[in-house]
Formats: sequence, structure tokens, C-alpha cells
Amino acid sequence: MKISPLYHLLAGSLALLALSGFAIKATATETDKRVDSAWSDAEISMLRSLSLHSLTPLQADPSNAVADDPRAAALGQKLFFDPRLSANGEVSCASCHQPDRYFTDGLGQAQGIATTPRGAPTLLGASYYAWFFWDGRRDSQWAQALGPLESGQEHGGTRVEFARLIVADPVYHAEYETLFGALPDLSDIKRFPKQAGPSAERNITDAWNAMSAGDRQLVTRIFVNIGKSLAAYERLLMPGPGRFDNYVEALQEHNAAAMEEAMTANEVAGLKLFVGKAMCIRCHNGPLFTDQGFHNIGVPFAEGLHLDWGRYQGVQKALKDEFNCLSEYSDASQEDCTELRFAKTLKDETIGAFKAPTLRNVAATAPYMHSGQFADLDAVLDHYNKATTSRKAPIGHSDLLPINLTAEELVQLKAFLHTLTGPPAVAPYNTSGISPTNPNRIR
Amino acid sequence: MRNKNPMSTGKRFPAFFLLAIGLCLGACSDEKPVSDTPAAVTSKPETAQGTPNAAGNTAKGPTMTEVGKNGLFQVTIQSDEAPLPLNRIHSWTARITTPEGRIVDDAILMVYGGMPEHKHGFPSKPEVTANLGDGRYRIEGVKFNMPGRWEMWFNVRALDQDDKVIISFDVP
Repeated sequence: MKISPLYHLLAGSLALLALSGFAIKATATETDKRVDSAWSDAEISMLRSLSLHSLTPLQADPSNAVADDPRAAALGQKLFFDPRLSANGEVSCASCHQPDRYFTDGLGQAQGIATTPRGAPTLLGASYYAWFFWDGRRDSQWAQALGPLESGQEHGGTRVEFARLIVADPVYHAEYETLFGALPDLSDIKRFPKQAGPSAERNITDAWNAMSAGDRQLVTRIFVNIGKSLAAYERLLMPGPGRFDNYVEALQEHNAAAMEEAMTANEVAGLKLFVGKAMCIRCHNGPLFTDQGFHNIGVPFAEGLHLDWGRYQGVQKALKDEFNCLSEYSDASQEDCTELRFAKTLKDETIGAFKAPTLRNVAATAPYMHSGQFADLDAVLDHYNKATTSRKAPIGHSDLLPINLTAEELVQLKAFLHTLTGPPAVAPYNTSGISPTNPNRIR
Repeated sequence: MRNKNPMSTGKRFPAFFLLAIGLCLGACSDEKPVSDTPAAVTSKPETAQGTPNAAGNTAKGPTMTEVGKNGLFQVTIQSDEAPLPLNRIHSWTARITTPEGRIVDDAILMVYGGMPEHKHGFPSKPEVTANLGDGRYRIEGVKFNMPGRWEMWFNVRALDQDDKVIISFDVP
């Protein structure tokens, strides 16, 4: 039987097609190999653990019964942006935690009524932490939120004033009662002085101490519920993925083109340093790039500021705090309060230590360190690069080890840090019912 | 070693074994426990308190066993949770026996730990919170804040004899 030339042609074409198909596949496999071989299996697993996609769902806060109640978040959001919650009617939580600055303020030392000694950290992802403030002196997000309200340098208000605002404002009043039950009548100025509460000002503290224990508790309960509502809102503030997260996703999919699109060679080299030679990963790990621990890294005191004991003092304050997890105002049972009950207090390991901040959006949230000691990332990296084996620190001992990065490596590391910037995932604004110019100020 | 072992003479240990617990790394010496509470001394091992876990509800970690440097005591530990959680306080159970398997149910025990490679201790302060009987002890307050090699150190004191047990493991 004679085979037609057409058949040969067809068979040949099929063979060619099959071959070319095979060739394409082989090329793709080689590319995968080349792309992936830049990372060891252990490194890939480490990168995956840093990706925002690895962030586990936020756990319940047993100390706050309304932590995940959307009605509390709605009330908390209004309170967050309301400057009436201050002595001069100009300071709200959003003054220092500005949404368009990743909930920071661009300052080394936060500015409220006056200048504070420390910087306002981002709130994005903060609800994952066990400890709040740079020194961890509060152990819940709601207790943290109460600190600035009563601080003379920040909001500068008093407990009675905040409680009275909730009672007087019809929107707050209604929303509060839906969540927490009937509000008391605070109109008797003799029982509830205009300004009273724990304060650095003697007359305000005296007025507070002159109130009956029952009345103080009535007021404090409202004050606490303000904090719990603020925390319910803050729990919705999460960081969004940056180019680094896209890179890890592409790496897992062996997608070389997407990897190259996500990060430059320089940035990838910086990432290599981050998880390797530069040892950043020791403290800046997990999807939020923080171990949430307290470390002494030998940062100099900020100009005009003196001895700061950091965590050593912070943990003592938390243990005695009137709003801690074991307090009457916490909704948690004793079993829930393990962070507080087993808090490390050892002087050697806590003195001069401050909380490792998240590095999410770090390139967009200068200046750095607890009092803004470093103006830019170059200064930060320079500090780490100058670490010596002497472990010298202004107070206590530095945890840092020498890393000996070259000038080129410092550039690469800095480039990598820029890939952690991403649009925040935040709750939509809804400030209906309040106006920044509302004349009903607390004072 | 074995001949010197006081436990080899048989029976369970008398009730005056002491168990103390504390935490620190490196700088702490065996003789100076950080634990400040005389209450850590238990004289009635029979008063075992409850059970650490409802069996079967959650997966527990694998058991890990080491004998002390002096060959006197053997510690077996097990996490209440598997895989080991990061950045969350959780509990473990320790079981103390002699290397021959005799139960040590009243002693002073100190637990330390950390990441020796990184020269830091636990980010929390683990403590032994209960003597559960049968040589088992409840350890609460354990927290790991980064993946890698961690160690738990146990100083066991019983019948005026001390031993130090180090157990290493990886946190994924």
C-alpha cells in the first residue's frame, strides 16, 4: 500500500507539533527551576510565613465582650474621629493615627495637647498584639485606647467629661445604650464634677477622689466602654498586601514573569539579606513582620529625653493596671489572661527593651524607633550595621549582633523594605451624626 | 552513674522531694532559682489537681524525653497543642521519672528556656503551676515568638540531689 504524501505531511506536522509542545514545556520547567533555585526549600517556607496570605484570622479578645460587634465598631469609628474627645476640642485619635499616613502621624514624638515622649505607632494589624504601647504597659487594645484620652499631653480630657459627652450626645447616647444598657444621669455636678478623674493635675485627681466609690465606678464603666468601642473599630484596621506578598504568591505558583514584575533583582537581594545575613528575621517575623516581643537594640535617647526603662517599667505598670485582663473591667476569665499571668519581668531581659514594630508600610511611616530617633531608613540600617559584640546600650544590653553589611547590601535591604508598602484594608468612613466642628465640646 | 542514683533503691519517692520552677536563660545558675515563691514547695503529691487536658479534644504534640546530665532524672515533655503555636501562650505537661522509669512525684523543678543560638530566652515566663500526680507537672505560660531551634531546660531537685535536663526541638 502506498502511503500518500499528504499523510507524511500530516504525520510530520503532528510530530513537529508534539515536539514543539514538548520543547515549550521543557523550557518552562527549566525556567521554574532557575526561578526557584534562587531560594532553598527552607527559605521558601520562611517567605511563605511572612506573606500576608499567611495571616491567621484575628482571634477573639475575651477581655472585650463587644470586640467583634459591628455596632460597637460603628460607635468606635465615630469616637475615633471625634475631636470633641479632648480638652481643646482639636485632638482626636485620628490626629496621631491618620488614615492617609497608615494610621501614623509622620512625627517622632506624637503631638496632642502637648508633645509626648514617644511616637504614635501604626494601628494596622495592631489588634494581633498581646501588649500595647512601646513598653507594653497595657494588655488589651481597649485599655490602650483609654491611655491617651486621659493623658495631659494627648487628649487631655477627664473620665467624667468623656462619660458626660456620651450621655449628652444623642447619637452616642442611643448607640451606647443599645450596646451596653441604660446610661446613668450625670447631671448632678456635686456628685459628678465637671472635670474629675485620675490625672497629673492635683485638683482633678482630688475631685475624683472626693466622689463616692459607686459614682467613680459608674463613670469608669462608661469610660471603659468607650475604649471597648474604639477597639472594636480598630480591630478592622488591617494592612494590605504589598509587592512582597505578590512576589511570594508568584514564587509559589512558579510564575517567573509575575515574580519579576513584583520585585526587582535588587529588592530580591535585599529580601535574601533580610531573611539571612542581616538577621532581621530574628525579631521581624510572621506576616506582620514582628515577633511582638520586647527587645533592647541600644537605640540612643531622643534629644531632650532621658533614661527610658522601656519594658522593665511597662510590664510592672501592666501588672498593676486598673484596666488589665484580670481587672473588674475586663470581660475575660482568669484562664484567658495568660499573657499577663506569665509576663516576663526579669530585669536583665526587659530593661531598655521596646516592642518590635511591624515593618508593614515601614518605608511610608518615618521617622523610626520609639521616639523617632532615626529620621529615615538609612539611619535605621546604619544603627543595625554599627552593632558590635560589646552589646553596649544607653541602658541595659543591646540584643544586636554585628551584621557587617556592605554599602551595596544596605541599599538592597532598604530597597526590599519598600516592597512592604500596600494600601491599608480599613473600614469605610462613616462619621454620620458627628461633625468635627460640633460645638458641644467636653470643655 | 546508675549506682549513685538514689532512686535505684526502689519504691516511689518520699514526699519531701522538692520541685521549683522558674525561667531564665544563660545567666541563671542552678543554685539560684529565680522562682521566688516558697509555695512552689509541695509536700503532698497526692493532691493532684485536675487533669491538664480533656483527652482527645485537640491534637497534642509529640513526647520528647531526655535524661539529665547527672543521670538522676528523666524528663518527658509534651505540648498541649500540635503543631506548636507561634506568638501564643500555651501549656505543656512534664513527666519526671528516674532513668529506670520510677515516678518522681514531689520535687522542686525550675523551667527555663529560649533560643541559645539567638541568645534570648522565652518571651514569656513559663511556670510549673500544678503537680498533677504520677510524676506529672503542668507547665503554663510557654510562648515561642519565632520559628527555629528552641530549648527547654529543667532543673530538678529531689532528695537534695540536683540534675539538669535539656530538651531541644524545632518550632516550625
